[in-house]
Amino acid sequence: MPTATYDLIQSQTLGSSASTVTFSSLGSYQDLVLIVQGTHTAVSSSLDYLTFNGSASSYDSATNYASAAGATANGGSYTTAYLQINNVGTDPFMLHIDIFNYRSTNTQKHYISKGSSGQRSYDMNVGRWISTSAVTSVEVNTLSSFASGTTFNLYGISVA
Amino acid sequence: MATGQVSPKVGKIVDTPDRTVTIGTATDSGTGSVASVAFTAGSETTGGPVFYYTATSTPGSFTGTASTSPVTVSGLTAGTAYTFKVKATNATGSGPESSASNSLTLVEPNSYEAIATLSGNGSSDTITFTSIPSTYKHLQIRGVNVVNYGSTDYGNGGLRFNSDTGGNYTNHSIRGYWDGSTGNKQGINYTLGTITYGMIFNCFLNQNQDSVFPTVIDILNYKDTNNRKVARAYGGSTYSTQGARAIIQGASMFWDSTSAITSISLFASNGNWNAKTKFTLYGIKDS
Repeated sequence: MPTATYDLIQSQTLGSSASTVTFSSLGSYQDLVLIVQGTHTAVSSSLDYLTFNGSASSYDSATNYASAAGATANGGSYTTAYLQINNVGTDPFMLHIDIFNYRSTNTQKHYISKGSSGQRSYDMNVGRWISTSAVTSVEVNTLSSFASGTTFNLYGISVA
Repeated sequence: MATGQVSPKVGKIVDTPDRTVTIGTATDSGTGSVASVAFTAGSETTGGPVFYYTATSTPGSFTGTASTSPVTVSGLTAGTAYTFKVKATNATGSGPESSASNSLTLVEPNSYEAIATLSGNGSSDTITFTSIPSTYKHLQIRGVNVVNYGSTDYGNGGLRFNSDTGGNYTNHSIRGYWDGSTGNKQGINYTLGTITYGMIFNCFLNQNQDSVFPTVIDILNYKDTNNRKVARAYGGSTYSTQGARAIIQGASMFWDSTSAITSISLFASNGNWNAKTKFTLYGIKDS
């Protein structure tokens, strides 16, 4: 018997600008999907990234990034989970992030994301948090600020 | 409440119902348009036999009838708050309405359903979903797959539909690749010609290490018998032994067949799906 899923866990809309938005009630699902849509306050390039459980270490990732300047790739080991690069100015942007097996206590945590920033860029990212701890909170961060009105919708997806 | 009419059923003058109808709880049936309204009915003292009970919504005045509790009310709109009142009706007419129910806002039902989950076993390079319901518009597969590629440092993964192992698939992908041991960073635009599977990922990872690849695959219009089939996937992998490496990939594949898709196989080249691999098949309905 198929199981209805893709449940909205929590929706947050910023009433004022913020550099971090936290989800700490994640429910009991297999995967999470986080969709962010809005603008930034920065007048120059910014950068969005995730952290899990507030951890500031042990991430690595790769990015394929396309803009008017051409396509390029990037990657490395970092202190956060990179989502999107060169998120310029106040262009509208969106992020679609899949976080897999977030409750697992015996596997590392992987995510993939797609991001677009107005007419300027499109990117794909893969990364992992090198930890077998269950993810109990997800923090969405930016080096500038997310502007008032930016929405963050977190969904839970169950298995059959 | 007497009206002095003759009941055709009982053949005598009867009153409208005077029984007390006590409203119960109105609940969401789960369809997005139907509510179930419970009630309890008191004893009749002067009225004739009750034929049915009617529940009426506010707003909209949508109604439903039943001979016993609960009453089903259809035609409602998800997202709108409704209350309901219930009254009894006999051959002469209707009795007094109950008080209003709780306020009920129907929720649009999910159009995304988990159909089946399959895991690897370490000894097979193929995982197959069969018995795919025909009640959806599109399909999606989500999962984290794990392959040990042994002495090679790369492998492909792909889809096969309806057990077709012929050269009926074509593919294109874009990738971002990072090799920490060399510092090499590449954006790759890659076409794999006609082959025997629809490629959904390609790993440039590590010899004799498990390669972990989270992925989401969309299979569009799988029931269509007029058009050839297209699927897309995005996913990637990171690993940091033998020099850190990571790859992110978006892929498109094409199956040169107008047959409806009735089975989906996930195929790993150069290795087997290990026991940590788990794929879940989801169905997406249209309205």
